[in-house]
Amino acid sequence: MKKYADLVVVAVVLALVPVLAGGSPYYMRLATLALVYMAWTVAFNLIFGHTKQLFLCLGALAGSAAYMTVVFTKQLELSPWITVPIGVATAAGLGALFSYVSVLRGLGIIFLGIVTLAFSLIFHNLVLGLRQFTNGETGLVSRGLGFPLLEQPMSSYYIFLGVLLVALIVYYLLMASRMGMAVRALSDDELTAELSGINVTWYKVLAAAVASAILGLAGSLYAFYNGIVSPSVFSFVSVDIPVLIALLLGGMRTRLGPIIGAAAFAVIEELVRPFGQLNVLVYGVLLIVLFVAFREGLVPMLRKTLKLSLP
Amino acid sequence: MSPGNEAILEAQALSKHFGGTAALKEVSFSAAAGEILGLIGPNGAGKTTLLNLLSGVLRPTSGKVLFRGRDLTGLKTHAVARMGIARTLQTPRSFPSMTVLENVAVGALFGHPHGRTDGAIKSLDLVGLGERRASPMSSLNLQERKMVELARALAMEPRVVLIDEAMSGLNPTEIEDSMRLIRRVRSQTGVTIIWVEHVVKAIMEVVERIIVLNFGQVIATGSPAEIARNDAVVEAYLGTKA
Ligand SMILES: Nc1ncnc2c1ncn2[C@@H]1O[C@H](COP(=O)(O)OP(=O)(O)OP(=O)(O)O)[C@@H](O)[C@H]1O
Ligand SMILES: [Mg+2]
Repeated sequence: MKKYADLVVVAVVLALVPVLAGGSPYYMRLATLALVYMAWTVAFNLIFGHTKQLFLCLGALAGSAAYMTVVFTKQLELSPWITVPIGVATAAGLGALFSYVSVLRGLGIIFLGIVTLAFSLIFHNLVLGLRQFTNGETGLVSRGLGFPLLEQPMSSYYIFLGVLLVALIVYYLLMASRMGMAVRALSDDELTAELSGINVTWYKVLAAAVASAILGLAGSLYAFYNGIVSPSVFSFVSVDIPVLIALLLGGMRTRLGPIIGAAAFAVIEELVRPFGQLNVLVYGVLLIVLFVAFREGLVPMLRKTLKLSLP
Repeated sequence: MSPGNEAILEAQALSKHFGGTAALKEVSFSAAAGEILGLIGPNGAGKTTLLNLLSGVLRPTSGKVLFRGRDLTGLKTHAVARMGIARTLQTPRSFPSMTVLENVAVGALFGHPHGRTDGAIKSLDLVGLGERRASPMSSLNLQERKMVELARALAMEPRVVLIDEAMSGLNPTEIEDSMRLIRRVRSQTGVTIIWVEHVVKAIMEVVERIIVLNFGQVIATGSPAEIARNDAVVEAYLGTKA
């Protein structure tokens, strides 16, 4: 099981974080949020890193799942054990649809980016428009509706750690299977991959569906944990931009990149908090710098400079 | 057609239009199992387009492709590949992030009907790149990259391999080597080869039959000796290359 040693290290280190937080609710919340973003970044690594599909609707996908879950729980008084899977399935279905349409219509990476960005806007508008279900800009109170364990800081932390580990295990297993080789090939050259017998469409749609399911699962549970779902929780600025930064910072197509990147982002976010609304400006500059000068990411950089064999 | 062999791959009145212009007009031919069939013609004659139709990369505007009697028209590229038609590209395209062996293994893993990877080393040895198996693709020259493509195609253990130029830009000794290689591939694997080549002299010495395309139409079919005497062929090549 040496192949999965890094997974064990990640699990142990993250499991010890609450000890370091020393029971401070503030730090527990920060750490829990970091876990959510780690899971989202793992998902985005699968879509964007491995299959080069630029989804600019991560917040909208996670938010679709979150709203489906909370609205169904509230309106139909269904158990969260039923509504969370509904949310997850919604996100997975939408993600698969975008991927399939983009392959079918031969959309390049830029056009897929535009289409998914448009979906982000549609989602935002839909949430504002369907006021009777969503309560518009104010948002829906989800406290007390979901799982009791998500109402307490300590148990919430370990639930999200569980979600992250599930996401990582799914990711590891997929990458160790034939799919790992297939996505490496298709992200290098799609025509050559097809000529070699790889069903490029299938693997891209599969990657998008699995990743969107992860986005949705973390999104739905986050909605309960957060106590309220509102458009701003799942906006482009609050989800897509941090995840994009975290993935680029940590290193695309690496196992540890999303974890390290999202952790680093959580630290950066704390540092820029005093700037208030200017934080988006900082993120913008950070994104530009990352895209222009640091596309490799931390994990590949550490591999090279320290000669480490990081996964 | 070589004696006693049934047709393995057949084109029936294939046409392909790009916008208003016809790149291929009603092209029909058939390849017998185990033969080496040469496909020649001046630049822009439609050779690559024909291979694109045969490998499912493009759909014909009209006409059919039959493989062992089965209609392939409309199948996706990967499905055609898995049925047993492998293809190399005129400008080689590989998986740059992978080693030489990994490039070939992809073909064995996904293109082979049973996903076997043991054929990868065998086909690398066959094209003479066994020693380079661990090298990154970036360390290979153009001809070596073409050979990796051929090895990837062969690792799929196809029934038919479509080769789009194996020799452009080679010196005479290298051409001799490539000719030997094509013969060796056929004798060791029994695969049917449809081979597009600009080096007409080389193709004349290796193949059993030649099809000549000009302006998207078949203008001659026959043995190399017959083609060399054919007036229409000589005319098509006059002023270009002979
Ligand atoms: N995708 C395409 N779109 C538009 N026109 C095309 C396309 N592919 C080929 N053509 C045109 O079809 C004709 C045949 O091209 P093709 O590449 O098949 O020729 P070829 O015989 O392979 O030539 P060469 O010897 O130069 O490789 C040319 O006029 C070319 O410009
Ligand atoms: Mg050509």
